[in-house]
Amino acid sequence: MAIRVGRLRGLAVRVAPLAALVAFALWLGPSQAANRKWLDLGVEAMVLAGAATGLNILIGWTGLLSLGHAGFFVAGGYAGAILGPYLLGEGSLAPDFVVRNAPWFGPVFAVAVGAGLGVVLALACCHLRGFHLTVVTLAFGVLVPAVVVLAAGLLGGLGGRTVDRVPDTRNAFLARGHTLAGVYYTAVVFLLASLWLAWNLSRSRWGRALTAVRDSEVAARSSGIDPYRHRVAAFAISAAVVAVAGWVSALRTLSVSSGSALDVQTESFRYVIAVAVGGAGTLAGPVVGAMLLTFGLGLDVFQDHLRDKLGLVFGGLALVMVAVAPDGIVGASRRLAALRRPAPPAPPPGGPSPGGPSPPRSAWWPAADASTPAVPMRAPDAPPGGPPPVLLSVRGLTRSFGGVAALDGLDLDVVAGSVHAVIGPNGSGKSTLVNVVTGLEKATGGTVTLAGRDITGLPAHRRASLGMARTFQGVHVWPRMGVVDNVLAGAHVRGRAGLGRCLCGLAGAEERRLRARAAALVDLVGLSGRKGERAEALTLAEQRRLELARALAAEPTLLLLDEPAAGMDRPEVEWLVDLVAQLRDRGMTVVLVEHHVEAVFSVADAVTVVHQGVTLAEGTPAEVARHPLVHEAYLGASGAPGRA
Amino acid sequence: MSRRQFLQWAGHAGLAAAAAAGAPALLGSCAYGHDGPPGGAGPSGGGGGGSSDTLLVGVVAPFSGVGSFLGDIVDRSLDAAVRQVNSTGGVGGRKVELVERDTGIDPSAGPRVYADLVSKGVVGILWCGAVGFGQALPQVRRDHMPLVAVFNDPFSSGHLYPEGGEAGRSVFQILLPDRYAKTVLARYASTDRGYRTAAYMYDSLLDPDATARARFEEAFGAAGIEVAGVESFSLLDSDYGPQLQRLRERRPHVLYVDGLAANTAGVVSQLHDLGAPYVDTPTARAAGTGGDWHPHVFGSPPGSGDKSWVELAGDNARVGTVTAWHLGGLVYLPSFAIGGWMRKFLGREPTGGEESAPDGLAALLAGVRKAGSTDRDKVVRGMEEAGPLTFASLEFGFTPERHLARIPDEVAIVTMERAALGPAPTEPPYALGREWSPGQVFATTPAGPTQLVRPTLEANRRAHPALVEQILAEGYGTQCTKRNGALTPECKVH
Amino acid sequence: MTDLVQVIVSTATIGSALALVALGYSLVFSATGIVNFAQGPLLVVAGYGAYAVTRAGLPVALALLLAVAGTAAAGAVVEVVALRPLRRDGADPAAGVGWVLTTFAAGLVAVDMVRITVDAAPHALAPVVGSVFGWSVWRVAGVAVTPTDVSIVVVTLAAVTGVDVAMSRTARGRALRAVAQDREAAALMGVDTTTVVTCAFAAAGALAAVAAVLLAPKVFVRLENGLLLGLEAFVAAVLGGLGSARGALAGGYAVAAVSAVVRTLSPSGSRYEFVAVFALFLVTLAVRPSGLFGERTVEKV
Repeated sequence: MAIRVGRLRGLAVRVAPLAALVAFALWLGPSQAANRKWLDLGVEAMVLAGAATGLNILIGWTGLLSLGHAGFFVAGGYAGAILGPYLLGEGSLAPDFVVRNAPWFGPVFAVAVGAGLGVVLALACCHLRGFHLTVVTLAFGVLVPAVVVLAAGLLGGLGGRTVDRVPDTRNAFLARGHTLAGVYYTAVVFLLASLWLAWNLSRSRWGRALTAVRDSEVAARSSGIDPYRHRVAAFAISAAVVAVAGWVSALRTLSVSSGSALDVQTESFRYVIAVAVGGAGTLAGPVVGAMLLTFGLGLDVFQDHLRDKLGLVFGGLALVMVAVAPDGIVGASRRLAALRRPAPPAPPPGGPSPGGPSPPRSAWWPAADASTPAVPMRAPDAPPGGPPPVLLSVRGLTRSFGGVAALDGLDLDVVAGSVHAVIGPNGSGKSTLVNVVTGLEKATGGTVTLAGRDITGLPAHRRASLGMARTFQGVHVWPRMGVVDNVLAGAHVRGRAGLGRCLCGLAGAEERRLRARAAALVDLVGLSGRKGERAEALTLAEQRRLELARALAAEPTLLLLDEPAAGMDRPEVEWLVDLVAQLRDRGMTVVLVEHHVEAVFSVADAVTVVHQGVTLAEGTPAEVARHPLVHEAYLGASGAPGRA
Repeated sequence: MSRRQFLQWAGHAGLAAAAAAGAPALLGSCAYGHDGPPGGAGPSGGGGGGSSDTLLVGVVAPFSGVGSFLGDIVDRSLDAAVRQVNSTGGVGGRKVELVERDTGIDPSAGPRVYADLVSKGVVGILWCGAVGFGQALPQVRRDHMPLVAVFNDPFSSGHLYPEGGEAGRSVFQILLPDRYAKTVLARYASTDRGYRTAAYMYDSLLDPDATARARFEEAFGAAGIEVAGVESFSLLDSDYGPQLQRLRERRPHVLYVDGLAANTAGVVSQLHDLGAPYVDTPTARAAGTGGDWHPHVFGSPPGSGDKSWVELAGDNARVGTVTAWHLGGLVYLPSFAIGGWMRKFLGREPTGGEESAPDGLAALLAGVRKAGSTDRDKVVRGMEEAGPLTFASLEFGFTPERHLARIPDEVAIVTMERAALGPAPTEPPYALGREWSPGQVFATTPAGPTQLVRPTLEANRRAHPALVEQILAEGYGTQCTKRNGALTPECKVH
Repeated sequence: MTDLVQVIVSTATIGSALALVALGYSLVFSATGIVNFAQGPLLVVAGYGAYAVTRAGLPVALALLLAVAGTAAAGAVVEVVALRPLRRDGADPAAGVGWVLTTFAAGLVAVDMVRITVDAAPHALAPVVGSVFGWSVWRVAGVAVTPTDVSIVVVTLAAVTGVDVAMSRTARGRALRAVAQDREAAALMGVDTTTVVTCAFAAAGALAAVAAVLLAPKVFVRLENGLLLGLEAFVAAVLGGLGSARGALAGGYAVAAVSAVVRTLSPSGSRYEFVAVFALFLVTLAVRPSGLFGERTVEKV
């Protein structure tokens, strides 16, 4: 009961700001209808809030800083307010209804042009990292006014172009729509629509994928998320939203102009500042920031008394605000709220439930149902009487960088449905092998074959979608995501909701199903007591288990574990070994890279010993244990294993 | 339905409800919109203008940020002017009050401050400086808001009524148009100085459409002067080497630099470094026929008509560099009223530029007086029919056919120079007109005594006969002119 | 021939000044991973500060020294005010977006403070090196070269060499590079990371002051310079590769060269100056994303 109330409160807390916003918007309109100034400021605030929300998708969730987004604002204004009515004007092929209401179809054109330009910009910069990407966006922000000036005849140059009114004033609805009050409500609808899109995205598979790409691209790629595609999509969506903002603004000012390059730059900065002031990555943040910025500038006290010191005043206020609330106002209030919340109960000591009830087998590995996409890469069936089929085959694999050869012609065969251990001294190339097989690093020579298919050239996310999953030696969880969300994001390849469905919030059923499975996996690895926390709050050992649950969420055919037992104590190691055996019994193929030789030998069906980038020996654990070279290179130094 | 599902549905439904509520609200907005029907006649009785005992006038200027020197000028001059107006009874018994709004920090502030002023109920707006003006213009036109463009030149861009319709009928301009300035300078160069070739340098960032360049070519072409080269520089540039090298090959008599003070100062300094500073007219003319290049530099009003130009150019600010402006624009005479008001009410000396905004205010108030109401269309009509006004400086006036305050006949040619250096040596020697020393007319500046004026005599005599008599009588300097092929006795050719 | 000499002189003069400011951007980026949007405004602070000193009657050489000291202090203040608050709870400012707001705001405040304490009008500064042995302008193939031009080039080359040497040979320089690569590790090795970062900002301020005062005879002291020169130098810094002293030099000269060549080729060249520089910019980024001399980083898995 307490949990339900807590959830209720949590949901109410999240819905409350939205309800407050709607109430505020609906109050401001009628109450200030006679007050031109505040209504105009209201329009400006809603437009800025919507644009900031769009930009937040890129900055806050995808982690890409764009300082040139005002270019889309300008483009959207031109597309929606000038191009659209022109193309749909008299004498065009559009139906009569469309022609009469042509200006209202502006958003369609704005979205099309905005998204298109967004994709173009993304293609120009998404292969870059860090600030270099930002620089290209800056260049874009400068190019737009340059284009406007070059095409001055068409686009009006620096002065811009005025927006023609609706010629047919017999249509009373439209005529009213062009009064300021009509524009205001249009702006409110725009803001709510943007928020709705952003909200849907945030709770969907795509939104999670964006955050995953931001926080750890490596983990994202290994979970089947294509960073490039997602970044491009984030650019396109944010650009489309900002473009529609530009259209609404054109309604307000009755003109479209870009201003000079410096003006566009300042405008782009305004969006970023609104996001920063409110709190990047939150839903309410950009709205709060935009409202503060716009209404703040409009306050009479600033204009009447401080108008010659506005730079000082606003600059100073910004600095103070950041000193007090570095992650934005909403971020700071969340932090305060978190402080007030009682600390969650301490997790039970020890790790997974040794001695607790063993997880029911069906809970986390339900039979395939119609809604599960068929696993693309099935382990080949064993031909009767013949040798067992090989799932993963590596031939002559070489990986060198900087003159050092981490892998030097390595061969490996992993039989389907077996547990194959890979051992070797430090620096022998074990982790590199896993990286190359999963596609995170590129092989400089040799081939990798999965179920008969050559995957040497495939990128990591494609391999993951073929049924490969892994854990990392150095943990790569997504720190700011919750425990369940981490696992849920790992199940990315198991979901099918496309971008469209995610934006419209139509993927609820699949989301619930996957979430239930993820929760069950979290229970499986013994983190049920930590479900409400962010991954960064977990201990290192707990994060390793989280990674394991995440890898399992993908329901892989081939699971690669890179030193999963590191830092585990004896009961935990036993639990791990038991789990691996269970996985094998279910038909999963497991490659286990480990240092912990004793554990490995107890569960492995085959062992490969790697030394200095090549295979030193392979065979059953017993064979390998007796191998003289192995003794010399590895086992001999650390003592014989427990088995004979 | 589980509780969670219910709440989710409630969230969605809430949004849908909001959207649904929006639709009738949209329709219902007809009851609220006070902006008047689109494109129709102006709102009757619109423009409240403040309470019954004050008259609100809106002022937009860059008070903060990079352009704030303009805002300072506007602030000071209007302060004194308003006090003067109110001390003599205001307008129909109502006191005038200013509502000032800044556009300096935020380039997109134009529409916002416009809406702010409209909602405050101002009777009219003085828009000083170009920031945001273009963006607010469509709404100004739609609302028929009386607006005086100060330090703004919609006439030269072809927007001003009646020459162009973009600005609507309610916009008037105080600033001397660039087009007139160039026309008069071209005539000066050709008729008075006998120059035959001229080159033009302009800022390609501030004037990307090269409209100012077109005006130059039109004006100088009409005066029979060949355009010997057009160069551009960008706001970012501080080095004019390549441009000057190219021009040196063409050796124009005149070099017209259309930029800001820093640009003109830079060009003049680098001309000096090249060994090509202006000496006098005969030397400049000799360039075309075998002599070295020593062009006569013409500057734009903000380029060499601004007193900061002198400080920037230092010793290179010499008697050669001329600018076209109007008396009262850059050039003060002690008889101008604004100086007296500033001394009286603020205890300050004028520094230049202080007459424009107060004259704009006067025009607006005259319109209100003439109309006898604050209805916008009536005020506009009143401004057109108020007839000649004298307020802060020179007499001026608007008519239904002319929304410009200044006519070409009022142009004066002005030189700012380092008088401390004395006149540049010429043959025959040239006697400077009377210099103003600090404290006489202008506040002291670090640049020292700097101004001399040479009004275009004939034209100004037509426009302001009494003033010209005063100028000549008090010896404020005259333009050296040839009349009938002979030098006039009062001055010598420079 | 004249054209070539003109291009060389224009490039050397302006390019050197841009290189100085670009070096400032580079140093700060090295130490923190962010771009200091207050660097341009620091130019304005330096210029008006020097002007105020000369207005009080003191010689311009002293004004230069005072400007350098004062702007270095201003740079340190920017770091404390704009960057430190973002490090709360050990967060990395470069990972978030707050630094855009704070450095930009710090710049706004700096320019307004200058405007309020001095004034908003443009001013001239006497050249630091006005004439050498009575020679105040030298004409090479018809192109004017002044002692100012020469001094800018000399000072810039000295500064860049100095910074390069300092970064690779001295303990302080190594400390800076350590902080740039891995702040935590550097701290664990006993490097005082906060001081190192503050010093980087102060050095950036000092470099801006040198550029502003030396170039004043050409660009004067104006409020707009912060925006204009700051932007150009930023482009130069990114072009050359943020984080590299040689990159700052290369970027500065590249931008100045493009600008000079474009203007030499055609009278309306300056229209395309902006476009040409950005075209070069985009081409460089396409081919070498981290700039001409920038370092490529490899992410370790």
